Amino acid sequence: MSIIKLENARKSYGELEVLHGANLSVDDGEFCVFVGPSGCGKSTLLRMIAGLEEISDGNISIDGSVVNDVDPAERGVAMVFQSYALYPHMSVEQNMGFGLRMTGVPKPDIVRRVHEAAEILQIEELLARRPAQLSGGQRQRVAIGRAIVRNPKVFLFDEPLSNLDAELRVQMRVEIAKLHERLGNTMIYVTHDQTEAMTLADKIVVMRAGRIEQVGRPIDLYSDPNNIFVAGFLGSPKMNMLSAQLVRRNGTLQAELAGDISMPLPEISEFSGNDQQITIGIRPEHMERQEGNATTMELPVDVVEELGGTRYVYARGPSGEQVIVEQRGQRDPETKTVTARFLTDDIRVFDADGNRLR
Amino acid sequence: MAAGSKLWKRDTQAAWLFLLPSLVLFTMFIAIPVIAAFMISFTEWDLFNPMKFVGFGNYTELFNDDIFKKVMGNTAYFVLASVPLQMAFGLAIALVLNRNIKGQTFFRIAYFLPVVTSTVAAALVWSWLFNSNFGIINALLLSFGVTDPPKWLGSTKWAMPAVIVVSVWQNVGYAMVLFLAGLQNIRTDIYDAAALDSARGWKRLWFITLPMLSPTTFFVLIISIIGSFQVFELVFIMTKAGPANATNTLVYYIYQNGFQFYQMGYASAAAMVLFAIVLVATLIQYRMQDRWVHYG
Amino acid sequence: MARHARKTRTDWVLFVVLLVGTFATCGPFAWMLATSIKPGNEVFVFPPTLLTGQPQLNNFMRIFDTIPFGRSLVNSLIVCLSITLAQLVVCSMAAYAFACLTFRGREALFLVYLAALMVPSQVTLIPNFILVRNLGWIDTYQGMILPFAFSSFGTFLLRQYFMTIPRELLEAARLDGCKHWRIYLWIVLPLSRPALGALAIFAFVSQWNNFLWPLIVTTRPEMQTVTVALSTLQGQYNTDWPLLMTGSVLAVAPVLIVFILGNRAFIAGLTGGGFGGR
Repeated sequence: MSIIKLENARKSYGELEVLHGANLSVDDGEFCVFVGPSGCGKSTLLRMIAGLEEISDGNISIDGSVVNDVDPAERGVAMVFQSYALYPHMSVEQNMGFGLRMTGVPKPDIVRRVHEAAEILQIEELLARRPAQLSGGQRQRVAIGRAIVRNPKVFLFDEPLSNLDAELRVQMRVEIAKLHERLGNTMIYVTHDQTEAMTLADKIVVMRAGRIEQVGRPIDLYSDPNNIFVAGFLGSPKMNMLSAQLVRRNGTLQAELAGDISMPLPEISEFSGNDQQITIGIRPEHMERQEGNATTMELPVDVVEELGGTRYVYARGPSGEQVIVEQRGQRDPETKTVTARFLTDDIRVFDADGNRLR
Repeated sequence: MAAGSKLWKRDTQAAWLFLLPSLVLFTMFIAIPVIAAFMISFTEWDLFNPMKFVGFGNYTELFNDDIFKKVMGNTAYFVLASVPLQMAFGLAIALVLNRNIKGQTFFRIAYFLPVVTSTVAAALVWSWLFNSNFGIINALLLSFGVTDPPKWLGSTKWAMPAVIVVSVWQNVGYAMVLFLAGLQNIRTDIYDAAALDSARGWKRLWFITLPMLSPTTFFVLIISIIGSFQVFELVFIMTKAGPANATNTLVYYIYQNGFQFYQMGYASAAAMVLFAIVLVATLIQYRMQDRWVHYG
Repeated sequence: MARHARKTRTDWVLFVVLLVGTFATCGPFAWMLATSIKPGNEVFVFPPTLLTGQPQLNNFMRIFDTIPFGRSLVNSLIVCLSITLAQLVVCSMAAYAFACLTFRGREALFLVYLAALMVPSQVTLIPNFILVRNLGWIDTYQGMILPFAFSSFGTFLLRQYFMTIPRELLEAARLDGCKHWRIYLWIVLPLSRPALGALAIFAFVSQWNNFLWPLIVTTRPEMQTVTVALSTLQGQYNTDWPLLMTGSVLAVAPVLIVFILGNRAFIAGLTGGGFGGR
């Protein structure tokens, strides 16, 4: 059952449209992540759901009713802000209970619910402190606690981890996942970090320049991207992109690269004639297949990044583009080339406009 | 902005409610009075008899009025003398205090005390200090061998300098505080860079500090000019514009015509002259501010 | 090492120069105080005595008998506290609208308020006098208070401060169920204590020292504020220097105490809000 539904939701500031009609439905209990580069409209979309930005056109429904004109406080949502937005002049306990107090919940109930939330987040000993006396991670927990206390239908997270250092970020990421497991509420989470998106989401919404590019399960978006942007945005290091010409020769579809390299491609239903300009994409971790009937390319190496377990070999492709090969196992430091070996099924084909050819 | 939506309307309604008290007071005591003053300046009116429209009569009269010419001369004298003095002292003290000298807070308070002192009280004390028969200033002058010390407030020649001294005394602290704020906004890495370029001491002051301070200096200049043009209490208490109008200044003249001679129209015309001067000074300030933003 | 020694020596010289300067700025206050405790006839001794041989508080009794000076002090206190409170409420409300709300005409109206900073109070003096007279408010507290209950400067100062409060805090409050008046009362005002303090001290001090307006809207001695009472005193006893200096001491002391206690906030307010804690 869908709890949040966007129908052609638009946002414009005067003449400038920043969100060009978003359609989306989020299911009850789902962890949905909006991801995209800065300025793609993901935060605006989240704030529109919260009611902090108004919707210029279209509809937003929460739990079956249109909330376009409903006050933020009455939408049944709670939000965790990037800066945490804790009230500096109140104690942690007052911060967490403020929303209930404003809506007239009796005091004993407030105390009980604040303490319950504090217990879940293991911040009971911080309740008497002021936000200024807390570390970044503790503030983060209090901000989440404030949202839990209100028992909302939907949690909204606006880049909640971006102010934490790398280690804490990983730790909090796991905790948010656990929290979702435990509470089972719907959560919408905005981030520019594709790792957070991949690891947390039940459903990823990839956005660019005010448009939703693709929606789906993380693994589906990863292995079956709709376009070159989604393909490139998800995955680290990025998918290798090589420009090529599409030709059908002897009944098989082939890509012709610079330097007379050609390779077979997976079958495409929308073939529209020879010499079409295309881009082929292969993920770095698929560049060293040991098994099967692989295509091979010998590439000159620029730099090697040793990570211990694996290593990234930065090489130059046929037309000089950067190609990353993820290697395991041994490597002779003297060799100045790398052999890329990949399967036909590893290749994703995109047309000149960046759309996926299937 | 979706002008039609309910949320937006709610914000707008709230905004006007929050603005209501200030709007009422602003309209009643600032906006309408400014327009009224402008209109009254074209009339002849003594508050008791009906108002009479005289066109530019008050203004032509002003510019032919010998006393008004003297008043403008006095005001110019006052501004030209007190502004540079209070700025120079203010800057010097600020520069010294900015060296993190011992007792900085104490000195800052000590020099600022006159600023927060009621000008009426200050004028009274200084009248007493300048008293030509029993005042301590003349006592000191006599003890230093000045045989015929000035009669100060009783002298057409020395009354204005005396008023200027008090004005400088009162406003140095204000200039100092503004300069100090300006100095503390200069980033220290510029001084480090200057030290590597072997600019120290006077060179550093001349080539680094003063140029970096120029936006503040200009701000202080304009603020001081505007403030000086409005001198009133000092004149009212110390000299009552005398002797022989030697210390009559613009605001005192407005007061005199409005509340002693009951010439509301004429006083308003003089007030418009003051308004014009302040307006020009402020507009110059705005213009120049833009030009100097790069000093940050 | 040599340069360090030279720097210390320069600092000492400057320190002494500053001390001499302090004598010039604070000397008049000392002289005021010294004169206020002199017997009436001792001021006509020449050369003047620095400190009287017979210090006395007689003048402080006398001043309350000759004119209703006590009443003036109370009047000043009533007027200044009322204006200060009114400005805090009126300016902070307007500043909230300008800093935290979006509405059509916001920038334009703010510019109009700002433009009022350019209007010298002497320009509006005559129309305001006529207005207050027609309202029958001569010799009333409201006649002295209301024309100063709004301040463009105060609105500007508070708006600048409110703008530094993170937007997300206000949004969090909205999600927590606050309507605007609650955000204003519960979030914005408590977080703006330094700015409100600066405005309060500034308003109190400048109103305590205000002279021209109370001068023209009061006629009865019982309604005069301290500054007006001082000038009346001067008109009646213009050679009674001990009495005049006593009046000055009483007029100046409350403000100096307020200032010395709150000098940091006051100066912050005057210089446009470089508030501490950076």
